[in-house]
Formats: sequence, structure tokens, C-alpha cells
Amino acid sequence: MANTIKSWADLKSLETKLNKGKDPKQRWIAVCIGPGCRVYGCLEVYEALKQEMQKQGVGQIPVKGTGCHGFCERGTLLVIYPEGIFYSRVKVDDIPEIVEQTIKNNQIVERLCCVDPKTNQKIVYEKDIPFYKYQKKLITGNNRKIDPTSIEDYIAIGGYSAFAKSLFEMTPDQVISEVKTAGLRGRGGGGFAAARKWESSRKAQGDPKYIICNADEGDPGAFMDRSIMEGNPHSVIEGMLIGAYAVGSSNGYVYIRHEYPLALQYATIAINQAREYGLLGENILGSDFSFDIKISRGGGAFVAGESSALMQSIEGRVAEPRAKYVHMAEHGLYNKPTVLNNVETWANVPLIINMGSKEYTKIGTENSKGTKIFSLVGKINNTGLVEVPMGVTLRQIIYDIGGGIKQGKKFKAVQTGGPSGGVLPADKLDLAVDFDRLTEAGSMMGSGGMIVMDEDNCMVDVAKYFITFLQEESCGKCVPCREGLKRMLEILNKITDGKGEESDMQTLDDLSDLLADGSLCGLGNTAQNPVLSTIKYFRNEYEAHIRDKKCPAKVCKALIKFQINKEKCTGCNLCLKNCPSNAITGQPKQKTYEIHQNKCVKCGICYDVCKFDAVIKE
Amino acid sequence: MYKVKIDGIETEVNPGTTILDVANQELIEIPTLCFNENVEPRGACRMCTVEVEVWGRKRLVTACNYPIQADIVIDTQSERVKKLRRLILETLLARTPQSERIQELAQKYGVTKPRFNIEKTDDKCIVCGLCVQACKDIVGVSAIGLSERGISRKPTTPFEETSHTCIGCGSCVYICPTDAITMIDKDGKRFFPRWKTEFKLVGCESCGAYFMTDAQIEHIKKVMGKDDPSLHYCPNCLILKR
Repeated sequence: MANTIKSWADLKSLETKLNKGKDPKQRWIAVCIGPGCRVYGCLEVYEALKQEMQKQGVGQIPVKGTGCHGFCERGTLLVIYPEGIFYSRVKVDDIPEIVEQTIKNNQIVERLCCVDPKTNQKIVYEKDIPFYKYQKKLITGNNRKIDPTSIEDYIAIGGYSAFAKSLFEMTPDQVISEVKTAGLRGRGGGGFAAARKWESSRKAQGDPKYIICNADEGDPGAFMDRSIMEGNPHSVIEGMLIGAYAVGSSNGYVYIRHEYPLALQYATIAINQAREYGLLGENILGSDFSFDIKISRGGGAFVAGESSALMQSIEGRVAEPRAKYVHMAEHGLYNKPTVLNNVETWANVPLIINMGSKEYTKIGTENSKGTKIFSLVGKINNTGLVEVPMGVTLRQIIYDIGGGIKQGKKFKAVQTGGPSGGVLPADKLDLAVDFDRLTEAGSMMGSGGMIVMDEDNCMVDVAKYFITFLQEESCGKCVPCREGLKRMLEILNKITDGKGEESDMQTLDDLSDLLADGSLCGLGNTAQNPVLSTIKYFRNEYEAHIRDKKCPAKVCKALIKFQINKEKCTGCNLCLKNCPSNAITGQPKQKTYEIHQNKCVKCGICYDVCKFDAVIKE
Repeated sequence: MYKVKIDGIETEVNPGTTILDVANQELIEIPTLCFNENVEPRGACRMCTVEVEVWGRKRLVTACNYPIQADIVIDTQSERVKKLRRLILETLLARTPQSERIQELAQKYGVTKPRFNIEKTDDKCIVCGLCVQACKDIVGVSAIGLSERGISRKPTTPFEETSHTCIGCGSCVYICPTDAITMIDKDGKRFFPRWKTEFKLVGCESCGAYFMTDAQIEHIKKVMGKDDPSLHYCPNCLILKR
């Protein structure tokens, strides 16, 4: 094939060729076309920009549609380089002005700039925006520099050089030792030392050996792995190549969840390109190392992200976990030695080889090295993807990067680690975020979900939400998870319905033991965390539901009622007009409005629509 | 050989021996539900969970499928183990209140009344999956499988319709630990209400007693590749014939 790179020298010369004549001062424009921005219509913005530039005679300036930049709250994002002029919430109508003013005449369109919440000043440059300023984007940083569908973009920024370096300058043992020294821990949930898996798999008997990339990200609200697969898929392939070389594997799988069609499409493109360029296949870069990757599409179950279930799914069976008393590294896929890491973990590998473990270990805490990507969602001003060095505090993430709580409300808790994680209250805000600290506090790192909650969230209701999710996603193989979660949900429903008894707290505690001690896999073993952590930090809320039959956050429908404050009511009739159950009666312009409790379904619409705060929730 | 200490008794075993094997050798009783020596242990019911100390670390493991890979101390009666057994039985008793096997085990391990809503059902199935394994691994026809997930998971025929691969052998009935599957032989027919399947029974050519379904005879012929006297005579007459 024409593009085949036959040696390390070829790769280097391609990199040089791609960068030749590139002036660092040259202007180019990046439009985020990641999943968050797509909701805002970024594709239309991207097309409109290209057309408008042609129209205005600046069509020669390159425009790239890139992967996720992270600041989803402000999408569509458009950045003009080399200055890094940052425009957010860009609409198609803004395009002519951007081209005319900024691209052609270097004038800033102020209304598209972010505002510093502290100083109320407009911020022009990307680097000055607080959301970015406190991040360390080692893994996701390249997303905004490259077109994810172009292998040449990746090679131009030094892509595949870490792999070539491993292949030609290091022995497999040296690669493993480097990853071990770097202290790389799995980013998928457990935080298991990656190099230990690699080492056991390298030593294990069996042929072929398999390398798997777990891209079955299923936590509600999480999209870290998705943003890497859709923003920089070659970094994952490169990580897998290095892993395969270290372990002695020639077969790889990427297991992508079916609900990520774009990730699937980009991974397919990337793998095909890597093959075309000779970076996957036989005798890669002229060496005797051969490796290829197949894509396996997920079966649509949360539990399929569990390593043994995932392997069953690749084998064509129902994703059902099995006992792991013999490690997957020795008996995994098709009973052969298998190394499974998730997307983010694989994407860290080229970085470690390029930086060297010495530099890499300068980032992070004693036992958690490097950065971690979090998806910051919930009642927070700046929702999006953030990448921070391990060890920053929750407060820094939520306040400095996240911009604090929406509508100036009070922070109540942050839920970390996905559905099997836990909630942490305000007095844990100064906790340094790493694998061990989070676990000690009763939560976990998980894959990096971070859901921020304010005073309007009921903690019993939050626990109920996650237990409902887990109960629906339990595979049903083992008794503790299948039956225990059903009973846990039954009791939580009883409590939020105002029928809770004192003894229910003990039953919840016992069921937590059943799940933790009895379940077959990690889903069940950690499923009690939402309940245990809410009880640990918000016991008073459970007690209020059980003893006083009150929901302090006024969320649980059975424990609240809506009434009209006749003093404040102006008789505008808006509540009556909007009530879906005809529970409100009254005469317009008179203070006769009343909510009939027997008809009220407690939907809260009257409360939301009243402009005079005359509807009271109690 | 690894050194094993199980409930205070010391012994030595070959690598890969399961904890349940050791317990059986030493006449120590570990309760099981989904274990059957004829199929690969799935570790689904978790009743056989025991506490072990290995490489200096204590943990709970299932005795049926834990292969001994190092010197090990096993406690089959620790407080954690006993509590776990009680909790498993409490949830199972709430799910299958009519199962005599579960009632018996619950009584043995001190579980009286579950603290949960007791299901109003006479279904005794605890979804251990043994019937499915027997059908696939012993009989080799895979007429049933486990469908759906979570609390709705259940053994069933494909799409809950009459299975055309079922041969009506009844292995699922014999292997079920809670007698959840019924097989009715009546008027020359065999009927499985759970699988909604019916078969014609074939009589012994000597005594006339019904002893096998027609589908079973066809299946065995196909597997053996030939006819055989055992397909014409009931087990009793077959002994007399020989």
C-alpha cells in the first residue's frame, strides 16, 4: 500500500514532512464537534464557518472539526489559533461576524467571550478561562489540536513515536517496568496496577494472548472514554500497541458500547487507517512484531463493562460475570491470557513512554499517579469534562473549575464513582481526590463520574435512584445482587413513601453486608455504597423520613404537599391553567385559590409557574 | 501439594482442588444449592461461601469453584459466613416461600420470618441455572436458557414458546435443587408445565411400561449413530434380557 510506513525512520520522516512549512504563527480554527456540542448544533456551525470563510475569501485558513474540548456547558465552542481566542455558545448567525471581525480583522467579538464569574470581566483567551486554567489536560489536551479522523494529524503531533520507541529501543520487560514505575492504575473503576496485569499475562502460558480495550462506559452521566474515542482514537490504539508488544500479544479487541455510534465509527476509521499506514498488521514498522485489532460491539448492558462479563460477550455469549479466582491475565478471553484496560488507561500509556516514568510520577499523589478525567455534571455552573492531576481537592474541581453551584445555591454533596460510588458531604470538600482517599471516605474513583448536588436533592431519593439503576442492570446470576438489590429498593421505597420503620436502618445495613460479602462480581460488591454513604453522612435525612415522616429537601412526593399562600396570591390563574390534574380551584383576580390534596399529584408545576411565590411546598 | 487447615483440621491437597472437595473429604458440611458435581460450578447461589485466609489476606470465597492455589486456612463457620448464609436464605425465603428445600435450610440456619414482602407465588425456582446447564452440558440439546436480567431473570424456552429441541428427558427436573420443575406422566404422555412442552411416551416392548419419550429415543439414536436394545426395553426388562 502506498502509505505504508516501513520503518521507524519512515515514521519520523512522515512526521517531519507533515510539519514542514508549518508556521507556529499560522492561523487555524478549531470547532468542537464532540457529543456535548452536537446537542447545540455544532455541525451546522462548523459547516457554516467553512462556507462563510470561502465566501469572504479566507477559505485557505484551515478549519478543524475536533473532538470534545470539555467545556460542554458553553457549547458550541470555537477557538481561533494561534492566539487561542475562545468563543462559546456560538450559533450559525454569529459566523459572518466572527469571520469578518476576528478572522479577517483581528477584532474580538466580545459578546461571544466567557465572563469571569469573580470579576465579571470578559475573558478573551482560552488559557485564561478558569475552567481550563486549573486543569492539566495531558490526555484530553490533544483533542482540540487534531481531527480525530486523520491519522496524519496524530502523527504530526508525534503520534506513534512512543510505540516506535518501545518497539526499537526497549525490551518488553523494560516497557512493563516503565509502566510499573510510573504507577499506572486502571482508570476503569478498580484502580488495579496496570503493569501487574501485564506482567502476569506476559509470564502466563498460552497462545494467543489477548489485549482488550474496554470502551463500554456505562455510568449514568459519564463520557470520559467516549470523548477520547471520539476525540483522539489513535492514542488508544497506540497504547494498545505498546501493551501488546510488552505482553507478547498479537490479537486485540476494542469493546465499544453500542450506544456510542460515533465512537464506533471513529474507532473503525482509526483502525483502518492504522492498518493502511502499516501500524497494525504483520511485521509492523519492519519489525517482527505483529498485532491487529478487532472491534466488538457491546450488548447494551451495564454489567458488560465488568471484565469477565465483557469477555463472555466478545465470545458471543450473554454478558454474565464469572468467578475470577484465577485471574483474567492468565485465563481470560477464550481461556487465554488476557490484559483488559479501559480507554483512559490505554491512552495514558504512550504518555508514560514519551514523558518517561520519572516525569510522569511527578504528577499526582503517592499512590495515584498522573491525571484523571472526570465528567462534572449536576447542579454545577460549568458542566463538562475536566482533567486534573490526582490529588487536587474536590473544592478545586467544584468551585475553581466547575464555577460553583448553580443559582448560588448551597452545596450539599458530590457523588463520585458512578452508581456504585458514594456521596461525599461538604466537610469532605477538601479531600484530595485520588484512588485511596475516595475509597477511605466511603466512595470511590470509579471511572470518574462526578455528580454535584445542592440543597434541593434528597439523599434518600439519591440512594434510591442509584439502587434502582443497579437493580435494573444487575445480571441476575447471583442471589445477593439479584435479591438483595430488590429488597434494598423495596425498603428505600417504603422510607420515601413515609412508611419507614426504625428497624429498616438495620435491614439496610444487613443487606449492605449481603451485597458486599456475597455478590459474585464488582457490580454487586459495591452496590451498597450509595446507601451506606448516604446513611453515613446524611443519617438525619433518613431519620426525618422515618420518624417525622418529612422529606427535608422536599423531594419525596408522599411526604410533601403544595398549598397556596392567600396573602401572596394575586389570582393570576396561572397555576389553575397549568395543573394537569384539575386539583386547583379559584376565581381569577380573587384570593380564593386552593389546591385540593385529594386530586393533587404533586408534580410541582404550580410551584414552578407561580411568579409571586404564592405556592408553598412543605 | 498445599497445606490446608479447614475448621481446625490440617491436611494437604493437590493444586486446583476446590474447597468443597476438601470439605467433603474431611466430612465438613458446607450448604450448597446450585452445585452439582456433573456440571461446572457457576457459583450463583453463594450458599457455599466460606472465609479463607491466603497470602495473609482474609476474604470470602465460594467453596464450589475456588481452586486452592496456595497454603490456605479455611473457616466454614465464621460469623461473617453465618450471617451471609442467613441473609441469602432470608431473601430466598421471601422469593420462594413455598420451596421445602429453602424452608428446611432456613430453619437449619435460624431464619424464621423474612423482613421483606413475601412473594405471593408457588414458584419454587431460585434461578440457580442448573437446569440450563444440565440441558446444555449433559443432555446436549440446549432446549432452555436463562432469559432477561436482574430480578426478572428466569430459565425458559426460547421466546417462551414450545421448544423444538427439547427431548423431554426430564434431566432438568432431576437436577433442580428446589423441585421447581414438574414433569407429569399421564395417559401415555409426558408434560412439562413450565416449558409448555408435551411428549408421547413409548412403552417397553416386553412389559409395556412407559419408559421414555419418542423424542428421547430419536435423539439417542442420532447421538449413538445406531439403534440399541436399551431404546426398546425399560431398564428393568433390559436387565432381565441381558
